[in-house]
Amino acid sequence: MELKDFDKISGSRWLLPKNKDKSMNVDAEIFASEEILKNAIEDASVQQVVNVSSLPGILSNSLAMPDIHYGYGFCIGGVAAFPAESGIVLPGGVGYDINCGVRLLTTGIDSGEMDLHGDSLGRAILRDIPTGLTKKSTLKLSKKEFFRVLKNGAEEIVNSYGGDKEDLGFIESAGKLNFDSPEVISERAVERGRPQVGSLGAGNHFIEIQRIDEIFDEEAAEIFGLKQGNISIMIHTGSRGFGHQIAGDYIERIRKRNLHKIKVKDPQLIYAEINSKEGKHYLQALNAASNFAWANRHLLMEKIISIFERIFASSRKNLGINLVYDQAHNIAKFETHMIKGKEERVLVHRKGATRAFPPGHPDIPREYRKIGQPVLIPGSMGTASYVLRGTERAMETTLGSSAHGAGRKMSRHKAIKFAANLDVREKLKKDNILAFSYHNRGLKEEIPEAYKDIDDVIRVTEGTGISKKVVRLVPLVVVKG
Amino acid sequence: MGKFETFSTTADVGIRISGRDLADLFKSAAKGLNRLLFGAGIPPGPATAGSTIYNYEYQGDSAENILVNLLSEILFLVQARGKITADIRITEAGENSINADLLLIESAIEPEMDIKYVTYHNLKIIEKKGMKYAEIIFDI
Repeated sequence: MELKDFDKISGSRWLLPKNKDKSMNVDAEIFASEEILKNAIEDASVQQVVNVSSLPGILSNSLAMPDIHYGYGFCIGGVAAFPAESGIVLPGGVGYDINCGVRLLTTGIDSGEMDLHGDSLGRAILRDIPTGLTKKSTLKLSKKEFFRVLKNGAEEIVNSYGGDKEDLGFIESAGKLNFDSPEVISERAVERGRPQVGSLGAGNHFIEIQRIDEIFDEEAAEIFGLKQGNISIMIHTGSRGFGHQIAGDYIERIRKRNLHKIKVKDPQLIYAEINSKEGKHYLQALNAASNFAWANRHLLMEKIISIFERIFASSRKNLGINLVYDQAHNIAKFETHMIKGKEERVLVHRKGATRAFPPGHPDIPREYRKIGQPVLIPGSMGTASYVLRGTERAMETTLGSSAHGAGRKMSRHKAIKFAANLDVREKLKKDNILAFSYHNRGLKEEIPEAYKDIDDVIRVTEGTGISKKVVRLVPLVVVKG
Repeated sequence: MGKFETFSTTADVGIRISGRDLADLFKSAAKGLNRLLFGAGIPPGPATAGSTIYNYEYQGDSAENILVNLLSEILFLVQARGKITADIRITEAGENSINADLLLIESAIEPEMDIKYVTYHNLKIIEKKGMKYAEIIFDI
């Protein structure tokens, strides 16, 4: 595939017509600058968009968001829809970290307070919240309690462990998808997941205290409760080992079932029909893992709020801490979309892509219906993150989807080599960012230089109209696993 | 004697492995995974105080399928049970089955890397000049 194979629809919108490759059932469409597209051709992620376009029954174009990069099965930033009744479902269209996502809290705390409290907050978060790979949650759940978390998601945390019921309205799908088939969950998934509800994990997962640095859309910022100069809190994590095990279990099961029946270009694109036994079971397990992730982020939020209350010797209410939104960026969900002029009920797969529903959509919080849902796009450690809002254009062109982050440009080995003689904490400190982690290696792997420029991704995202910038957030305190 | 080397892609990591037969190849893979997880930081094989033998048996549909499942098992033992596979003795290895004794040690060593799972991405065991080769990518 080469750049000349693409038709440029507009500045940052590229179409690869289906006649370019005889396997394609629909066009491939990529939202990217010319440079991002060239990189995506080079790293073969465009080929992955083409592979997805060849899947049976695909209804939409095979889409890729501005942070497109190479994944397994789907590229990261890949979005595709299949008919809800007669279509297919692919674990490789969601990824191993099911419902990896981002939660954003706003506060009434002036960022100047971080000069005094930033260090204590970072230390307390690192101490009180299990981070890394093997640290278990302080929440000791019985198997019965664990299955209640899988069934009820974030609501279970509020009901059984405390919190504010009103927060649930500010979580995608209210933090709960239908799950009532415990038999589809393997013992191994339970063994891995039970001790991990309320833990951050490692890799690119983080908790960040940020300054609301710049406002681009006054009205939307006010409605989201984001005031310039105040601090916000961002949590990025997912379904931990539970989701990884579910994905692995079902890739294996679906693979075995379909071994001699179907041929796919990439074994990670193995799929099941939605109405087959494997398809139904995977979708149930996917919902359970999604609920796990929402419960996980909810519990982390409650712990962080407690830390703030303790350090500021004040209540959540007085500190003005509110949940802005929580959204998934690795998920498959049933939604209704207009596709080629026809209203269709579809299963939308978003892998490394964020939902970006527009003003007036019934699935977003009533409070945000005037402006569209928040779209949370974190940058890398040490760089800015953005809040955008969903648009009609996203609904028309990307199945209501947007980008999800910066995306790596340097492998971990390269990053470690690059940062070999670098004291990452000191370097960040010079930029007024306090970094907390038990592992230097993790910090080195995540150096800002290892990631693409988030501003490029945001520029393209806004340029194509699939989301509109609301605020820019800059990190002050970063806690990593 | 099989060999392994680790490598990384932009977003993930992998191992290139070789072996004179499937048993040797699988053993190289287990060592390669340990290198990714722990660097050179685990006691080299056999017989460590407090070690246990864990018998692993799997019926698969291909050598690739067995390889993925063996590595997934080793990963699960580390991540869910805190057990490191310090050594592996393969008593039977074929295209469709494996029987192996894993020497497990309990360790407080934290893995250096959060490997989510073993993928089938571009996985194909090939044979060249009497040696078997494969490349396995891990999602991290």
